[in-house]
Amino acid sequence: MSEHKRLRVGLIGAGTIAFSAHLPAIRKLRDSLELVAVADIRVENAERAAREFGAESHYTDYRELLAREDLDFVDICTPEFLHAEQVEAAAATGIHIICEKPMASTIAEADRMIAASEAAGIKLMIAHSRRFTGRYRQIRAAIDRGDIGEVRYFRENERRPRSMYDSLGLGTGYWNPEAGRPWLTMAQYSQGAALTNAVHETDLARWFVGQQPVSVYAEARITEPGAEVPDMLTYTIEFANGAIGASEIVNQLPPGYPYFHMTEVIGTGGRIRATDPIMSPFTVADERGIAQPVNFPTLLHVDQAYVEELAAFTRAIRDGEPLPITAQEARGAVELSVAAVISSRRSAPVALPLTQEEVDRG
Amino acid sequence: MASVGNWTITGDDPLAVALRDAARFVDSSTPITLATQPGDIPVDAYGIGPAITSSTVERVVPYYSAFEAIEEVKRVLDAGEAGSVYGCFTSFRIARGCASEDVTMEALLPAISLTLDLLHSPVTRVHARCDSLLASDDAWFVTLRLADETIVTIEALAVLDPAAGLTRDLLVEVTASDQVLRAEPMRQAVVVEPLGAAGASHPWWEDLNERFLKLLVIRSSMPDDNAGSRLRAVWAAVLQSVSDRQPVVIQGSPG
Repeated sequence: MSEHKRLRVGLIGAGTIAFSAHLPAIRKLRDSLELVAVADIRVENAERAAREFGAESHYTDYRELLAREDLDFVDICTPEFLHAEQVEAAAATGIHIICEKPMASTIAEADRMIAASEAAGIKLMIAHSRRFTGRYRQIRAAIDRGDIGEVRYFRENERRPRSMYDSLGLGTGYWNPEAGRPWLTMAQYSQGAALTNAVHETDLARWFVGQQPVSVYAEARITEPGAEVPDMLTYTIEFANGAIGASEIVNQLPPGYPYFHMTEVIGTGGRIRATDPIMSPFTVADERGIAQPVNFPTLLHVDQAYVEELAAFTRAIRDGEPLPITAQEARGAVELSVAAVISSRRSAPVALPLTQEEVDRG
Repeated sequence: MASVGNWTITGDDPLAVALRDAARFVDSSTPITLATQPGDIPVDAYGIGPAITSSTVERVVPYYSAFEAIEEVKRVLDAGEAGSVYGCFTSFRIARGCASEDVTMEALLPAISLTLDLLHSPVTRVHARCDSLLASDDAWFVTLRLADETIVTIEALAVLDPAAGLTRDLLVEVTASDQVLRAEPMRQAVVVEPLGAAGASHPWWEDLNERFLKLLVIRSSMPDDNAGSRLRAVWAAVLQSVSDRQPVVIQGSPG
């Protein structure tokens, strides 16, 4: 048993990322954490999460969860367009906050979140899970050891099959404000893949290169019929020291396609390659040819990374350790992603940092 | 310079010699010129491999299209088996320390010509940048927007470590609604890992010259698709985009 009193956790947003990653991680950290309440506007999700993961209460209004006076921190797993409002509300109660990525839909919202957390004197950490994933930790460690010298180029191409999370059999799905229309396809709620998943790559580019970005050029398009926001994009980032970061993100690939990453870091003294086809833990060969696993949960990064992430946040609260990722760093990833959105809309390169007008609009 | 029938083939590299040897087997209309040396032909023809030119038509057959894997990508796309194409990522790598001209002509231009050979929709917008990652002007990043909305991402980089055994590396990935195609024709390699020392990769691929000549013959009998003028327009836009630091809209393209 732990020597410490367990921290009491409330979770807001019992959707796919909660069921696949955050709730299992909280359970694995049961010596340190106690899930006490869950909120989701879908009562069946809130009730199911509470029942399966042992919370004593569930709510359909997150404000009722925040009105409890026995929480040490809240884990926000809602879509990004809700983050600013919910972080402000949680900060006002004086509890610490871990919040799913991307930090926010806009930079202005991210700034509101930072201001609220600083005013309340609470810890705010954005859950950039890849910083806790073995693949990226190994890359960062190699960079820190000086194995490849100065980083000059980072590329990660990320490809996802349609309905990627369906293969996990969670039965949760995305929140559909209108029948058959997930929120992340609607312009009212989302800026598209540049935020929803490319924010992983914009964060990694900053983390690995370690320089300020000065410009970005992006092209984006919609591939999913009926969607209102781009689900595919390619972009090139220039950093202050001339290093380059680049990604191609494709999200609507055939169902049999695996969750795929081609990751490469090139430095003055070598390169690091971490590409799924050469890292696959399992292949099947039969009369149809050679197949790799479609989606192992570990390949989806929903296993140990979230445990490490929550454990680090717990230590920051309990032991005063520094947060492994600051809110300002997470804001930087949002700014890069928003710049990519602006660039793709203008069909022109966009300089960074963004102007105040771009911040206000974006 | 040697002349075989109605062919004029310059240069003394192995390909030029092979082309001269094989030319008598090629049935083609006149006049046709094949050249493999820079300076003998417009600069764009060198990087893409020999161009076949006549007075009325111009055909472009990228040399690396002769790889079986690339031919299969083209076959699948032309047959419509991949469904709606979303994008294409083409990466051409050469050794660190190569001259910037080599990056341009031996990596970027083949990458562009090869990609355009696979995708037929008109190119409407071009963005390009040339950067210095490890040496001066050793990296190109090109983004193409096609009329059918396909997004093409091309990189040409002098980043390979010759000591590791790889001096050229080509990757073509086409993402589409029904299939994802990934071709790495230069990746077949024997990897040697001596005890206590760094390993080395020893790649090989079959002699492309013979396959390329067969491809030339096949393509020569196909209708002209203006691939040459398309490539030149894109190439000019690439150079202009780098100069202007802005994307270039290709006039005359729909969209």
